[in-house]
This record gives sequence, C-alpha cells and structure tokens, in this order.
Amino acid sequence: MARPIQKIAKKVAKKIAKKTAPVIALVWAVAACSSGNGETVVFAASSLAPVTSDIDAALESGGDIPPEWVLAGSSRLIAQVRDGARPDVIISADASQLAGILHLGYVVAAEARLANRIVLAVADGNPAQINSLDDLSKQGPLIGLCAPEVPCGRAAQRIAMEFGVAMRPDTDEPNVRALAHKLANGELDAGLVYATDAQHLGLQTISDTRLADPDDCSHPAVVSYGIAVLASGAAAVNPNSAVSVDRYLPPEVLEQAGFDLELCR
Amino acid sequence: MNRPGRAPLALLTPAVLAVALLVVPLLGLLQRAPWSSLGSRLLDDAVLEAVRVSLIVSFSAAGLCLVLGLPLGWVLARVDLPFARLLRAVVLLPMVLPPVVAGTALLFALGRRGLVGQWLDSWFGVTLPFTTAGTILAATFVALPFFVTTVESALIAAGRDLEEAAAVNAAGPLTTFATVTVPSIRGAIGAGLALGWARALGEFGATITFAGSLGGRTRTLPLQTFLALESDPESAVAISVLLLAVSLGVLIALRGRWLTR
Repeated sequence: MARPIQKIAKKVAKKIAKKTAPVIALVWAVAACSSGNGETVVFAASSLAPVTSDIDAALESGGDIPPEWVLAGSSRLIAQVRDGARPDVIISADASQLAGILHLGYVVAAEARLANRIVLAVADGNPAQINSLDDLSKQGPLIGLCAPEVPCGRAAQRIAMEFGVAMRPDTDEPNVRALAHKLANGELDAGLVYATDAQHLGLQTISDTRLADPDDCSHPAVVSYGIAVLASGAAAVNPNSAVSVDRYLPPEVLEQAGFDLELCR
Repeated sequence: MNRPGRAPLALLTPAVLAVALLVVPLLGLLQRAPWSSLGSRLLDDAVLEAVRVSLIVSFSAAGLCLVLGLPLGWVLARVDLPFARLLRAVVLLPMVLPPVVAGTALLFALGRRGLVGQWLDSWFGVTLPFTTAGTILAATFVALPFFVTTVESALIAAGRDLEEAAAVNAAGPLTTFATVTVPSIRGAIGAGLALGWARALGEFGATITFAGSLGGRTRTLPLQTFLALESDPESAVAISVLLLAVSLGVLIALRGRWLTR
C-alpha cells in the first residue's frame, strides 16, 4: 500500500538532495556563526513583536548590539524557563507570573514600568456596526477574544467582569497577534486587542468611555508587564541598576508604538 | 536477511540514533504524564467537550474523504488525464504543506473576505471560519491526500481485469464501480479511512488558523492541548497521552498494511 508513496518520496528526495545539499550546508554554517556568540537573549511577550526591529535599530544607532529576541505567549515563556531555558531578560505581559521563576536566579527589574492598554478594535469599515463594549455580547457579529489562558484574555475577562458585559466570543485565539490579524483581514467583526497591535496593523478602533484613558495601573483594561533579569546574565551586570535592562526598552520607541510608560510607574 | 551482528557499525549507529530520536520524545511525554490523575484530567468538562468536537470533526472529515476521495482516486487511477502529474502534485500537496499555510490559504479562499467565501457570505449567508463546518473542512483538506493516494495505488495494483470482465457482461460503468471496483479494494478503503481519520484527529495548524478556537464548537483535542500548555501543562500531557494511544491504536489496526512488508 505504501509503495507508490515511497516511490514518489524516493524520487523527490533524490532531487532535493542534489539541489539543496550545498544550500543546507551554507545555512548550517551561517546559523552556527550567528548563535552562541555571547548575545543577550531576551524572552518577550508576543505583544512586543511589532517593536523589536525598531528597538534593534535604536540600539544599533547607539552603538549597542541588539539582543536575540524570542517571542511567544508570556505563559509559555515562563514555562520554558521553568523547564531550563535561561534567557538574560524576560518581559512578561503578566507581572504576577514572574513570581514563579524568582527562585531560578531571576531578579525583578523594578525600574522598568511598561504597560499596554486593551482597545475595542473592529474590522475595516465596522461592517457589524459595533458601537460599544456592550455589542460584544450580541449574537450576530463575529467576535474574537484572546483565550483566558493568556494575559490579553485575562484582561478581557477582567473587563467583562468589571463592566458586566457577557461577551460571546466566536473564537478564543491563542495569542493577541493571531486575533489582531483576523480583525485586520476582516474575518472577525470585533475584538479586544492591545492598543499596540491595533496601532501596528492600523486597525479601526471604537472608543468606549469605559476603556478610554484608563487613569491608573489597576484599571481592568491595563496590562502591566513584568521584567526580570538573570542575576548572572549578560544584561544583568548590576541587577539593581535600571540601565542594564532599560537599554533594551528605549522609551521613545515604545511610546511611539503605543505602549504606556507612565501609567504603572 | 542480515542478522544485527553482521550489520556494519557505520549503518547501525545512525539507525539506532534515528530510533532514539523518534522514541525519546515519546518517553519524555510518558514520563511527565500525571498517571494517578490521568482519568480525572481526561474527564474534565473542557476536555470532554474537546473530545466531542474532535470525534464529530474527525469522523465527518473521514466521511468527506470517502465521498469525495473515492471518486477522485478512481479518476486518478483509471482516466487518462491531460495534466495527471500536476493533478497528483496538487492532491499530495497538503501532505507536505505546513498546516498553518493550509489554514491561511483556506482563510483567503473561504473566509468572509476570501476568493469564494465572499460569495458564500453574500449569496447564502454562509460563513465558514469559526464554525464546526470550517473545522471539518480544514481537517478534510489535510486528510484527503492520505485517503486518495491509498485508494489510487490500490486501484492501480488491482488492475482492470475484473472491471473489464464486468463490462463484457454488460454492466454499466457505475454498476461496475459499485459492485466490482469498490469491493475489490475495500481493504485499501478501510486503511485510507483510518489514516485520513487519524490525520484529521491530529490536525492543529490549519484548524486554529482557519476556524479559530472555541470550546464546544471548534476546539478539538490538539487545540485544547495547546491551550492547556499555557495554564495547566499536566492536562496537556494527559491529552497528549490519549492522542498518542489513539494514534498507536490506528497503526496497530493497520499492522497488516504498514508494519509488515
């Protein structure tokens, strides 16, 4: 039964091997050179994805070496550290999660105060005529939220509780990027995403007074990042000095991207 | 047959390494499995909901494979087509395509603003993404090649003798197909269904990209596993053990076809 598949596989493999062997060797060589030469490794929440290249550019123009970014959901990053990964810096979208890794040699960098806001974003042109948070409890429009397992989903839950909106999502996306992209290409009508992702993808947002201009860090729409450094890591020459970590978080770049540096100060 | 003792070390060493590469991750999974609480974790409401969605989706996908794939396998095996090689490549593509790419492609084709999807939406009010139907479609997309190639190769191996004999006896082509062709390859149809079903059951990337993830509607077991990794890794391992057992079960059921030669 497997014979024809094997035959095809054999043919394909022969051709691929002939043509790609030198390419693979080259890629391997390049990859070997680019890793492990003492670069700082920064684990960052996916919501930082839109700014990493700008941060790299700012660092390079200041004569610094950009770090190696590893972007994933905050919970996953923390889990990887528990399983043995030792990045120099961790930027989690949920400050409370850092407690779970402090016994592994990490120190919370108290100086770095990075915050994000949840906004109500809609598909281009607002086809479902979403006007406020309350419309997220409607039956008709396609609504997307982040899954409650990730920080942006926990923020959505806080908002639902605080303002008494029984949201009816049609999908609980695994991370905010996936959600924002589905809004951007019009497959979803509305969703709660970070201000930074909305800005990055040029999403249309609906202002709801309950979300607009949160006045303090404990507002349900505010997500406060937690930053920890490895006490013996490259970035943490002196973990008590903000300079070592803040280098990777240039305020002007972050503010331009829509992050808030004042709210959770 | 070479006895292991006679195999040259230069071949034996990489072979053993390859087996280790395949087996060690599975051992890692089993070693982390929360055996004592396995039952209660699998009977958790969210997991049971995912089991239900997974069963609906995987069996529907297998059914679609049968309805669409059997005729396609027959066409590929029996009809002289002008672009047969290209067609075969298209049929095999989902096997090698990264599932996330498949999901993106499905979204751009059948999504609300997609090539075909916009008409489905405006003419019939049908929106496939974020529905169980969309999940079934994503699963069928990735499972179909397994079924079609199994059926096609069985038809080629079986040859046309029986069908020609039936034609001599004045049986129509459809009657021949139903009473001669299909029974003669029923073993292959079963094997193709089992493979397609298993592939549909394990589908993740295309599903989450195209159909999203909502408990009770589109969240299948692999999606539940992925989500549980964020908050409750032990549950994720428990579901993984279940899926591993099912996959092994399918292979054992197929042992006559794939595990011997």
